[in-house]
Amino acid sequence: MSALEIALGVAALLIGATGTFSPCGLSVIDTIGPTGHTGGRRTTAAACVAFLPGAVVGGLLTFGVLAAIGDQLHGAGGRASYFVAAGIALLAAVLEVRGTRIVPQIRRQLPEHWRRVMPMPLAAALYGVLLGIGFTTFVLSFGVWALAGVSLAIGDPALGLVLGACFGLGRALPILALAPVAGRPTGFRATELMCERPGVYLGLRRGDAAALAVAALALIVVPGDAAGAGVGVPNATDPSATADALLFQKLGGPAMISRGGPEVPLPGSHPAIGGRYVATIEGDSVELFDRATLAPVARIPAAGADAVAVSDVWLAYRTSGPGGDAIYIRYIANPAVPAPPLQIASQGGAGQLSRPAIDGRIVLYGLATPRGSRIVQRVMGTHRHRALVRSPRLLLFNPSVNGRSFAYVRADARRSRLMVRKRHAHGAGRVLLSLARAKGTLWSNALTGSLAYATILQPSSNDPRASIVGVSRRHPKRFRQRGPRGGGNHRF
Amino acid sequence: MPEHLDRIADSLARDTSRRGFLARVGGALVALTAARTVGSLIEPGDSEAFHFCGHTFTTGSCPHPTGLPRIDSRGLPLRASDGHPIDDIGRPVNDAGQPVDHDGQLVRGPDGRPIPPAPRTQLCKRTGEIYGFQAQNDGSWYRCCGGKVRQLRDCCAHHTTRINGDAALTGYCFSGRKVFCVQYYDTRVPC
Repeated sequence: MSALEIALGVAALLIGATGTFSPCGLSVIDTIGPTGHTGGRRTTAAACVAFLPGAVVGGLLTFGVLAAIGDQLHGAGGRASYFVAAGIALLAAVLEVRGTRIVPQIRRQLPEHWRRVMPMPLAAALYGVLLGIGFTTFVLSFGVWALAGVSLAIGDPALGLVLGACFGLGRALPILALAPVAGRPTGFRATELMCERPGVYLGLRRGDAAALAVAALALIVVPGDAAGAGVGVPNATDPSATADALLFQKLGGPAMISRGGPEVPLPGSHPAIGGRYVATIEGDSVELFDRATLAPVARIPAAGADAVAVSDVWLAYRTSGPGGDAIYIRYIANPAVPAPPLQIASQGGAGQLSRPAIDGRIVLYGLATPRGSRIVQRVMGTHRHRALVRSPRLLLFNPSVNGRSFAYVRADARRSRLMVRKRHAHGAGRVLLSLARAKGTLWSNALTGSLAYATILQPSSNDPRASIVGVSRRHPKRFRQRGPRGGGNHRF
Repeated sequence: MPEHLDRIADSLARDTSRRGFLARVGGALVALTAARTVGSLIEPGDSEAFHFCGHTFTTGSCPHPTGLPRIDSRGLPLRASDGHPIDDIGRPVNDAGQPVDHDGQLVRGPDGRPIPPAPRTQLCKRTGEIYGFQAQNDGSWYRCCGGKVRQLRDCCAHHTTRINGDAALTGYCFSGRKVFCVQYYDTRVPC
């Protein structure tokens, strides 16, 4: 979990717990406690077990749906969204510190008759859902409204689910702790502490305020960090990256590696990193270096190679010649004695193959022809291959891969977009970066667990310029597909 | 349709495809329906009073030394006006059950000795003793009264008539018991 998710999750947990002071929370304690029915401790235990998931489901419903609505309305992420969310959290924190009376208040209570007409565990589960929903009964903290506003403003369904789960847990845990002792001396003392000392409730509200303030800070700072991590490298192209290193090709210069410190030139060109290796192209061969020390490991013949990708046991490279492009793979478990090259794709005429991307046994490449384009996945060492995305009209090109996700560039008449998607999912994926055509074209890219790097290319017949930007993968935006320019019933 | 709503609808329709617009409208209707369904499930939290706030039925109060059946969390009687503990004969008492004055000082007799304490029993139990059967606190429910959370607690017994003299209701009681009279516990939690 990110720092932001932890901060908001803790706030949601505390705010949920503050709800125990509501008429509904207190009623449920007495209801599912041993003195609230005839079933004794066994029924109380069953009711507690049923209440917890009910409350979590309720929380997931409320905050998940609000986040989904936000996603529908304005898409996830965006600095303005985070500032709005931070403002909401800060306002609620101020009101909580001052102990301001809750307005607007929802003057509703749980349906009391459920406990009489249903088995207690079922009633407890349903009470849990209503309490977890948060807005069906009395609200005891401005934090509930604030969490709703934050979910809606950020519009990130995953974050909404985290908030919902933590809120539901917060609503459930105090009740689960207090219900079994209801009617006993400990229970009486707990009731007196909660109900007769206003300082306890006020103290909890101040705890909510502190948690909301921390969450507001995280909303301001953390996304800023992510954006800051989006480095810019001028006059560079063809990024290859891992969590700790970024490699790229300087325009008109050497291959470079950056590990957070100064950039270090590498022998050769078109660098790639993966597994234990760093690879570059030097003449008609691929040079392998140790990833940690950059000590040379092996030189593997690759005539005509102009792009390379590497993993622990596989090497893939593209060759270009008058006959067209081709992609070859070689098994390099023993890099000193690599297996013979195997051609897995070729394309002649006006068509092109993109540079390959590797993660483990998976190789991805883009295939673009005047009749359409597609991103192809192949499992090396087998004959298994399939198109991950395809289009007869758009240019889908330049894939990169990281674990179960892959990124690719999707270009239409208006813009180019860096898309990210799970390899096993369907559809176009979500948008990490979008660039209007007037500002350039997104091109080669690299994907890590938290970041994506993309080349912004200004194509030109004599002086093409390129730079690399990094973007956080945290909040990709929903992709809205529009009709092609000029109207008509074109297929997407 | 008011002009500003008209503009919003136009804007929505313009910014989206027709299918997308209809999907959004449909989604909003589903959400509204779901909200109304949930709304119909829950009950008003502020209840209309019969003879004290929060009490939604007609059963009378348990016999209380000072009037309204206010009790503490353990069922012992409190003075309704200020929540001060009282004994079974209505005198304010301290934690030890000794009668005290409005300053909390022990009330003494002419000889300077504190006047003797009287019993202080649970209101429900005392009610049973008065009416000659066994009564006990069963269920309870919390409501919002005058800006504070209040617990409504039924005093229950295996008795077919209630303190009003007519047929008793089940109320919050269980195991075949019915409500004989009602009491309440005021918290200091705002609502």
